[in-house]
Amino acid sequence: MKSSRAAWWFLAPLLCLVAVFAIYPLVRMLVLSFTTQNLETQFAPVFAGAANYQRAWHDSHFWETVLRTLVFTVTAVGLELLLGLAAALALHHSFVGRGLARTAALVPWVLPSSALALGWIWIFNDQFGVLNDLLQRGGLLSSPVAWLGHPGSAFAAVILADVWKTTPFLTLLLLAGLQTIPTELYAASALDGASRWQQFRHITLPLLRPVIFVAVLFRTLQSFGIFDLVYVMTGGGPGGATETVALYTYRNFMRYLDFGYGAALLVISSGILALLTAALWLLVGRGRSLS
Amino acid sequence: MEPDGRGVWRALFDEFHRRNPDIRVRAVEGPASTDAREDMYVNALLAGSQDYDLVYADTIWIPKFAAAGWLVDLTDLWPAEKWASFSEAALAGGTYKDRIYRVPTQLNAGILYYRKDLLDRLGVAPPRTYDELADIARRAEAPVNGFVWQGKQYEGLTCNFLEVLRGYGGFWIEGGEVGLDRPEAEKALEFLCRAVGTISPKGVTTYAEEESRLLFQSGRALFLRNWPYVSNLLAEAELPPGFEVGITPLPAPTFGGAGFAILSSSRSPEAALRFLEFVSSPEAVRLLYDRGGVQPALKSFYENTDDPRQRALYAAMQNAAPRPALPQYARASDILQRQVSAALTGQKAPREALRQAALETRQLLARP
Repeated sequence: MKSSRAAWWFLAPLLCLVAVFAIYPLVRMLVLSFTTQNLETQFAPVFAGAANYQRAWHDSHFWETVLRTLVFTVTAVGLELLLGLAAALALHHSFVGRGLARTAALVPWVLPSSALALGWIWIFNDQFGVLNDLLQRGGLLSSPVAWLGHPGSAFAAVILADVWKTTPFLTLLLLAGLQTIPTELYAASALDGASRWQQFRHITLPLLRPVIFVAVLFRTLQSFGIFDLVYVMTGGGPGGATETVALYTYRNFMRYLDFGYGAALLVISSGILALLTAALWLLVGRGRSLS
Repeated sequence: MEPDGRGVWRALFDEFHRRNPDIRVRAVEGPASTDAREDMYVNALLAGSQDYDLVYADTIWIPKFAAAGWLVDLTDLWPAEKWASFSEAALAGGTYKDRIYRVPTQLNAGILYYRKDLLDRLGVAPPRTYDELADIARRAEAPVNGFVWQGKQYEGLTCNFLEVLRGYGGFWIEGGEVGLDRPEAEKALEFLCRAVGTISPKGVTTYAEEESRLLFQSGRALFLRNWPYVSNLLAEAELPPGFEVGITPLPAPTFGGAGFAILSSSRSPEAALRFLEFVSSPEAVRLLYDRGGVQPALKSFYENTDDPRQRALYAAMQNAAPRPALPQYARASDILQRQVSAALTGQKAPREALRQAALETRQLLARP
């Protein structure tokens, strides 16, 4: 009894932090979402019932951004997981220059997204861009393409930029996971005549599952909130083809100063994220036991 | 305010301190992006902060900030003659509902740059309409593009489209009316859509200011629509041999300059006003121009200059018109950008895009 009281004291600072920086803003946002607070009310909150939610329900533009962001998240995180796993497996084996390779692999992750986005703009430029130059030299293109000027290729370009930047994050987490798997398991299975693929399928993957779950969860939450890369690279264009939930919500808050409505959009987004997390848990997170 | 990389504003504050030893100006440098700077002010103002006395404000913030009650009405603080010493375009860019909220410090508007050497060789005068421009631009020979402008989905696209729209005699929002589904608007958007891939490179739909400037500066464009900052850069740059820059007015340039406004929450409005008096004095304007190339908004500067480039710039900008002075401007602009960009990139027919934009804009204006 006494020790549990001591534990609460030790936890208190952290709980305070969580209350101030996580719970309070969430509650505040929820309250705000039931008010109208914008230029017309001179920023005084006026109770509006569920009006903001009704408006959001009929805001087809918002739902387009939700769908687009979901497609973005699934595609980007899926690619990052595949590439990150491959890179982690490669870096797990010892080879000459492994330390350097591990460090180099992290570089994209530590660079600021908005600066990278400016770089990507020039890479994809139709007149000066290195991508068009390479493709034309390789004979794959006859005339330059404005990659950010078409809805499909602009969307793909943003995914590419995101995958390039955040694959190292998955590599890092998965590599740490790989290193916790006891080597004895591989030795024993080799004695039993297991092939490389069987080892990967029956030892590596199951033991890595908890790490994969955490890594994918982190990336899904982050990716659903993608903002900086899109904001700088395309501004949501062309014709709104790369506008994400975060960009649209930001506009409602900061550019239109429509706080009640922006809060409602945030609450809805949070609900969608909660559903995503639950789905991930059912798909990957369950059953951590060694089967 | 904007980042002061070259110490231009620092020099101005030093001079102000020398003349006004009882006042200290503390400048807060924000991010380079105008939108990010607006976020910085909005955050502080919403939180009821009294950290700022003055805002270095972009023209499109004024209606929103004034409607929110954040700005001091300056109209009666200075006599009409003093206000008349500023360029009309720059003054209009700080006006909301006939009241003046901002002292302009920068004249900034859309300008048509052209290759004087190439136009001379073709034996044609600079164009006065978009149709004339297209006729000349069609004669540009590869690898020189005809006409480069800013077609990326962002505020610059609004400025570009608004110029063409007004150039064809149309209007966007005037007196509560929306003109986007009128024939003039359709003509304007069709002009830009036709330009993409013909007189303009296909990539123009991804360009902001710098992409288009570099294309022109590298000698690969006959015409460039851009802001006056390009003129200074071109004057300093090493240009390809034979390259001669011409400056001519656009049919209907969009205004976009910055200036200072006093915040209602200011604790020292008198000191702020004295700073505004200083910053609009010919000496301060001269200092900002000499040290940092800040394009003056005072008429007298252009009347007294011998520099033909400055005279041409003034002639090109003096008739610039501001964007609609609406508190909901940001939303109206986003609606327009999205639809125009969709039409330019072939996702929608111009007429369909404009009808949608008109519909959404009317809904926006009708909202209580």
